[in-house]
Amino acid sequence: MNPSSINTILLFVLLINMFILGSNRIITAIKAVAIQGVILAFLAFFFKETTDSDAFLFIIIIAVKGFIIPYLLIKVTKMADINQEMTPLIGYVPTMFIDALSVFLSFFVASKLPLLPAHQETIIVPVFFATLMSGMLLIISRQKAITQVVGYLIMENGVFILSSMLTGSVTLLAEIGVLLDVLAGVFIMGIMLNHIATTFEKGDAVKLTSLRE
Amino acid sequence: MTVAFLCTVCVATVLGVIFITKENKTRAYAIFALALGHLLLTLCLLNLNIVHIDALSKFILIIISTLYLGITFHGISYFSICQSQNNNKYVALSLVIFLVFATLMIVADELISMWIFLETASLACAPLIYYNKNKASIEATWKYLFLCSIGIILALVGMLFISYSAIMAGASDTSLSFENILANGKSFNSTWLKISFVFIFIGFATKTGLFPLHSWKADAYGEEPGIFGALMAGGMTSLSWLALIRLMQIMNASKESALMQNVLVFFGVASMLFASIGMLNQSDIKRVLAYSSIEHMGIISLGFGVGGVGIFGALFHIFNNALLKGAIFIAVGNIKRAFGEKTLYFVSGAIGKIPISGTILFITFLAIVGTPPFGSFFSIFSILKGTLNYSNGLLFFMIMGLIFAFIGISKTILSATRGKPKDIQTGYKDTLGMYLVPLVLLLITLFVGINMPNIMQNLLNEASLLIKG
Repeated sequence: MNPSSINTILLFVLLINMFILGSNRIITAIKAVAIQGVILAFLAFFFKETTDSDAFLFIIIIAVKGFIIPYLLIKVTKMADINQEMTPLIGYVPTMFIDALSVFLSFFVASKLPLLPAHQETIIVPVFFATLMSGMLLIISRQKAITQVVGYLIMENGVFILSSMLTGSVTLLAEIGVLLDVLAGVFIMGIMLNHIATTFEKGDAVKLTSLRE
Repeated sequence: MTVAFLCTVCVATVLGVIFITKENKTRAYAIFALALGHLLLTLCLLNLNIVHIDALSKFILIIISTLYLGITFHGISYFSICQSQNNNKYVALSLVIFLVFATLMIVADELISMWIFLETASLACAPLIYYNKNKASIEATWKYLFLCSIGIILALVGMLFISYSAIMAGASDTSLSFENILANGKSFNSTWLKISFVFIFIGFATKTGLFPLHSWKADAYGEEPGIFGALMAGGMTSLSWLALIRLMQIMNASKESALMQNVLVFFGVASMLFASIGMLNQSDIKRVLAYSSIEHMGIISLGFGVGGVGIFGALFHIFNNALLKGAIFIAVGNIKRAFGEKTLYFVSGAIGKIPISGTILFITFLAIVGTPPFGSFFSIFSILKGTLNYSNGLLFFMIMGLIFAFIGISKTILSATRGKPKDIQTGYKDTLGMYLVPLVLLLITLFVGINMPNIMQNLLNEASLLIKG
């Protein structure tokens, strides 16, 4: 357990959340989420003694989150010719402000929760909550369907923070299974994005409103 | 080991057939063969002690196996008569994936592996919703994919919190196997358990389609073909109820059941009332059925919430709901083919136009609203009795919900089935293959209503004892 390195990594994660909410190009956001996933993969090495299975998981995470998922999403963006602009429903500055508030709220909530002494020295629980909320914020504040996928990936990264904190209770197979499920989900979403973009104009989620009461 | 090996060989053969053949009909036969194999596997698992599964898993396994067999049998005529042009390779693949992962999810004995299998099974449903490939089905699929993915991520967070509550309590074994949690849950940290309950409940309630989290349901059920609607409204919901039942078991074992009961009762009543209001102003038959599904999820949730005899009723209602929703979605699919549309503007007098499917639709509607002597009457009645023991005020809300829902669904189904048929020629005729399955499913619920077999009674009693803890 190495609190200062863990905190450094987690601060990077928070900054990347902020960066994605402030960026106005879709490919930049996809790349930033990939970098966030790769940075988080290092987290496991600071929690406990490294074993062979950790190294194996590390390689799989880097491959899936760092290469396969961003490759798929960037390919969809280009194939479907989705416009690069994020088209926010809530402006960039207000979203960043809301995100800052949610970070504040996460720290407040985490201070009220019972935590182990070992986890109190790190900012792992508040950063987990903040990342979950940033993902949701991105989903609700941007118009295009592809940014919703990016938000989903941010949320998944948040869950990864939590699962790396719980050493011993989540087995290697479970970690890989979750990762593969996310990959399968993103793959199907990518196919759907392609169909959305060809049927509707430029992958616009706001147009998905004909089914209503 | 031998069983696992045999299953793998069967699934691989079916997948091979699906990929190699160019005929829609051959694929439909292959899935039907798989369903027969699954029935055999279910019988093995029930009688021989190969894998240790409890009464709840057995119960849900029977439901899934029966319903899947019916749907794939209907699929033979569906794919060869109605959809002979539309390539069904990916749909057949999804159906196989759904069955494999649903079975794995039912026998899973650990929380996270259960989550993984449920998520895969529900991802496999996305191509089914997308089957018609038009604007509306894209929208419905996207809504389904997205809401369920986000919901289920929250469920995963909740599961990890259970593990943290074990760590906080200083437990030596922090793995998430049911055995461990049910045995040691009493000593877990209660704050984290409550937080985890909220997260897991939101996650799986999205999948079940309880009131505030239901918005994908009407679109998905409304846009997909009736045969797949039957699989989702009957099968998928039973799977997510199994996940919620596991959560209930955990909360009961760790003495946190008060919070859980209140939440279940609240969401149950809210779903019933909301869904019955939603039904009133609908002209699309399939959307009305989707709201009826939300309402029945509410009834089941209420049954589990009030406890006592309500739990027995709720479990029994999961069974009835699965079979009746399977029957009615397939019947409505037939009606839609006969009229070419599924809104009341085009559909009326179905009994006159296609007598057998129309009559089946009408009788299934009677069974769904809880007419004796169908099984659904007895399950709803048990839940009413449980509610009466719980509180009188709640009983009022439940009866209001039932009455409103009756008005809502009968308005649509009566005007669809009775009256003078519109003069629309689509060339569709009822054949045995098209109406046999809903008829059989209906007869099964009638049979369990009149004379429930002892085996089923024992299984239900055993299962409700497991939930009470």
